[in-house]
Amino acid sequence: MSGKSNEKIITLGKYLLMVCYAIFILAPFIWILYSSLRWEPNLFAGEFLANPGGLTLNNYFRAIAGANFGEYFLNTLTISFITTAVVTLLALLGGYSLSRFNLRFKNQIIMAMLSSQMFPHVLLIIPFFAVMSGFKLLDSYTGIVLTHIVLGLPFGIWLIKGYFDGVSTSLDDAARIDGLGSVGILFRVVLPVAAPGVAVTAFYAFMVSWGDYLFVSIISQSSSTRTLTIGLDNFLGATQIQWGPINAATVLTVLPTIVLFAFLQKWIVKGLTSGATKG
Amino acid sequence: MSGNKKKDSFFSRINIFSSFLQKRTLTEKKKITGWLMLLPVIPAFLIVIIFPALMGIINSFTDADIVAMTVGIGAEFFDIVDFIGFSNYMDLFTDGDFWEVTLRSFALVGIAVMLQYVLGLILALLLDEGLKGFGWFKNVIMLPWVVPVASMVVIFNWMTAPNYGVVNMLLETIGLEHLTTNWFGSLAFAFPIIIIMHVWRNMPFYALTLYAGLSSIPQNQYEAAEVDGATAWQKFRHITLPNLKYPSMVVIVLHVLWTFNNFDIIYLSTGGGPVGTTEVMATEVYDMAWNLNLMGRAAALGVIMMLIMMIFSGMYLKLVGGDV
Repeated sequence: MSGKSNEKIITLGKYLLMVCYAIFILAPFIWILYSSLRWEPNLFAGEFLANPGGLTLNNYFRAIAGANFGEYFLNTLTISFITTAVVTLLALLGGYSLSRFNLRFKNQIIMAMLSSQMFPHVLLIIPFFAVMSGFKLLDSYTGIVLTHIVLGLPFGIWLIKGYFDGVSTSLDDAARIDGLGSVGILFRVVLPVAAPGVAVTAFYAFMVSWGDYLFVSIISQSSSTRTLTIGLDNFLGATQIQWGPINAATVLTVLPTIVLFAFLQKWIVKGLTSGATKG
Repeated sequence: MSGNKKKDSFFSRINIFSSFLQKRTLTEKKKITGWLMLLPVIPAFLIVIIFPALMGIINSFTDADIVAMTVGIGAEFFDIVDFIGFSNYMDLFTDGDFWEVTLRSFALVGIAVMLQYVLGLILALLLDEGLKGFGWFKNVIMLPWVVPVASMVVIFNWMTAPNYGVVNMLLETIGLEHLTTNWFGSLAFAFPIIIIMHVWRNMPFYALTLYAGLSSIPQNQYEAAEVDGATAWQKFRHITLPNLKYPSMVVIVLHVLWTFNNFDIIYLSTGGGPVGTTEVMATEVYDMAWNLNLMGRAAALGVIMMLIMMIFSGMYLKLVGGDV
């Protein structure tokens, strides 16, 4: 009897703990979304739930109308879409090559890719700046996109290679007997099976580019190439922070990554954890 | 009988030989395709690894400033800058707050990774319990990880704002108004909040990785232990933990690297302040290079970071072994 009530207490404890975790992880999202929908004066009234005048999209209109938000949003979108497309394509080819062909120096190349993760980005940016300056690419989409490609590619290739490693080569062999070449096999046979791996890589590249602050802060020199992360930082650095619009701008900055994540969620989780559990 | 056998082995040898030839030409042809597929990637690696490493090291022995950087990578660079030997390194070691900042970087990595691991492991175990009503939680758990750092910083700034932040409002509601403070501007709390942001962002990654590890433990190991009358703790200690060894190591070493390398969480939230109490190596490099215009000394500090990273990565590659 006491064993049973003990068990009940333990189960209750587990639920309580889980609720704590849920609050810790989700509360910031809920709070920023809720705050972004309140009239600005209500934010400073010291009340959690009192909302005279109801909820509103006013902050969103103000965010979009002011402070170059539209321009920054378009810059960010353009840069991260090009980055994502290029990284995904190159990682697809490179990852397939490293997974399927027994190339000389293969292990060294993989080592080099992984060790690129170990370089402090704050050190990388110094030579990057010199290169971009030398090629007159400072303050250009090209300069920023090239930087983001180079940043996203090594880990992207590693992710995709890991996924291809998990796809049996018997499919390749069957297709080869049917007379398909390597490229044909990749796109017609392996790609459909490895689509989750491709999705993970694309999402990773998008995240790297969309969220980057460091490299844009140095390579961008004017509002024509500035991205949302820089915009948010400028917003936050203002002497009189306008919390209404900045909260709305934050939600708009987070939204695209969450929407993409929602679509690709199952694959991303699988792709990210597969590398750590195969051992 | 014996003659027949000889004949067989003779023909099979020819067969093996000819298929060997066929295979060889096939692989040679395949290999060229393989290299072609890899071709666009190789310059990227040269740009991202060899060149910056070399240039970073060269810079660290010069008195370069931003002007020297703007001339690009040609020979002109060497006309502008002077080589000053180990001066930058000596300056770092003797004056300035190098040791304090380095120690803080280690403290940040140590505390954040430890908290993330313990909390992530507990969450993984809870997820593995399959509590009713919480099935959806696995699907949203990675959300903090996908949020851009700049947005996370705004969210935490807003929640901890001095007068109308939700944290202070909650403290007032439960009668603890003497604890309310300007959290990010506080000497005592700025660093802990930065650790909390790291935990919020990365702990779910640990939880999912370890959860995936838990799900792959064969159930019969637990059943066998139950037959032997093992307690819950014994099962955890002798079955769960050993089985999680590999994913634990990978996730810990990856985050040691990411946390040590991370620049924007601290730079965007406190900028290293108040009065340097949250300054770490990464933010110091950025400040030296772009705000104080000491490129050479910044590069020297960056090279020291790189060396520390290399020790970490050596550990990591040894762990992962050849199977990368």
